[in-house]
Amino acid sequence: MTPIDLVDVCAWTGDWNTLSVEGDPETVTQNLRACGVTQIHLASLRTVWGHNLHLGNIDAYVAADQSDAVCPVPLIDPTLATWPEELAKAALHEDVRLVRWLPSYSGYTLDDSRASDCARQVHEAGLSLSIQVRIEDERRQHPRARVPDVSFEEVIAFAQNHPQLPIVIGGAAWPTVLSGAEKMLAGEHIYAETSQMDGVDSLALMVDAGLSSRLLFATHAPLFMPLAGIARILLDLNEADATALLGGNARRLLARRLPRSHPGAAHSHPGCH
Amino acid sequence: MAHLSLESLHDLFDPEGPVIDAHVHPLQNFGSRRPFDAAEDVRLLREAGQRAGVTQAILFSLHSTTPRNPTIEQCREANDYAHQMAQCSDGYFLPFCYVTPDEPTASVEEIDRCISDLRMVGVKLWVARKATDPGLDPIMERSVHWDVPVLQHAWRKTTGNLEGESAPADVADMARRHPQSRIIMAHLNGCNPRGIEEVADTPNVCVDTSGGDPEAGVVELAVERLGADRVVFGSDAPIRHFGVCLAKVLGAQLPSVVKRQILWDNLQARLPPWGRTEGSP
Repeated sequence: MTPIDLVDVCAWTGDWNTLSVEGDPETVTQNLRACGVTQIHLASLRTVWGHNLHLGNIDAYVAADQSDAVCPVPLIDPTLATWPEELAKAALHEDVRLVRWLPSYSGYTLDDSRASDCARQVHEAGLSLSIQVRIEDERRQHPRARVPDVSFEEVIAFAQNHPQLPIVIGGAAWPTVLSGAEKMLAGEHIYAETSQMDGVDSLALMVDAGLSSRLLFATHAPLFMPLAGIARILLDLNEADATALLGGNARRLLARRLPRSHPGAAHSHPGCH
Repeated sequence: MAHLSLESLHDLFDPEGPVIDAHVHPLQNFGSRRPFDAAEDVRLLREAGQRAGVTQAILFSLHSTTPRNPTIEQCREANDYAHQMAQCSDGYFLPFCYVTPDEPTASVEEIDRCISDLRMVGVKLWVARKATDPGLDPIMERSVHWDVPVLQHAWRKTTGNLEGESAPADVADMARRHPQSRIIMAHLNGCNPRGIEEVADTPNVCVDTSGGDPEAGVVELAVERLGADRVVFGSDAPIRHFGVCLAKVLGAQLPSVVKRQILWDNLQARLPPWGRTEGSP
């Protein structure tokens, strides 16, 4: 009976406009740990609909203080004047491995020069960047609060311009990722999380396409049921691939790297090593 | 908490009893892999279902080309394919008859053929016309005659439904016009919490859990608003993953006895006698 390491690269705390969920950090953490998740990369939903995305990041930092399993994922908006300050705070936090952008919710596109400036600083800080292409299927969004997906092609093009920066594509559908497999494989720094990859044999097909080392388990909890995120990997893949997707790939990607601009980084707690 | 083993993780998906899926299409219709023939379709699809713990499944074909307004000939071809799959599935797949309200008279004849000759166990309606359309009435009346359930596609799309695509309110209208019918409204997550309310006072409608993302709390809400006996498990495989959809029920905050109703009892109770598993309620 080999213990397995489950690293969830996309969980959230907070509530959502169209779906009332049990999103307090204690409940989210408890529900994920009950499913065997050992490391939770957690971001806050609280200010996704606000004018200042950064204000909710405190929720993720506090959650990390309260649980060894939680690594905060600060949300960064490169169009907010104070993003350098917010990124510097993230870089100095011992448990941050990822920062996340929500381009559609923040209202910018990836060809905005401010995004490129910010990406360079994320790289300098030794962090990885998650770009969320979807939080909610547009078909079920509130009719007065519609937010389109970010184009997968746009993310790939952006990633090609930043070949040193590890980029995790969040919330993409599997046919899109599969059709872009060659482009993902062309650069070693492009990953995709699996929380919204549904369909019979979807993960098996992507593994067959050579993406086994580029896929990262994610639940999208508490918006989605945690078990659902595990099912699509566990039930369809062999042990080696399942182990890689559920945690091995993420552990390798998110191992703490020394920030280029901050030699002598602080030590992190065991959950986030 | 200590790390779980792979074996322990698998235990989280044990449904602790039989599971019948109310909503499955052939891979030939929507599959990520195109099967060589009906036998291969059965093998691949059944293997995927069994890996997730699905014991039996309702199957309906929407034709290999999935036209939104099929001709009756295309419906017949689709039904013959579903029948072929059922015949070589050792009872795993129970077929529903697919018909079109564009051709009500011919659809009634096709229902007679599928149920009398092929022993299909229900009727499937998709997006040719809304459930408010009178073209559905002869079809509904025939389903009552044969005492079989009708599974009606439904969705509430913020982006706008197709011209002939029913919303839950349309299904409620159909249910009121045909109070003796037994209707399974498809796609709980697609119908969303507003759609649940729209069928709340039509007791001859139950809702299947297929389609949409595995959002938290929606199955619980359906049980609260409709009652535990009006929710049935469905996946919409192969568009959706059997295990992901099953997780909506297994992970729900509901008593085991309610999960058992959703996973097995409720659909068994709506099938005609020749479709039921012996010993089921």
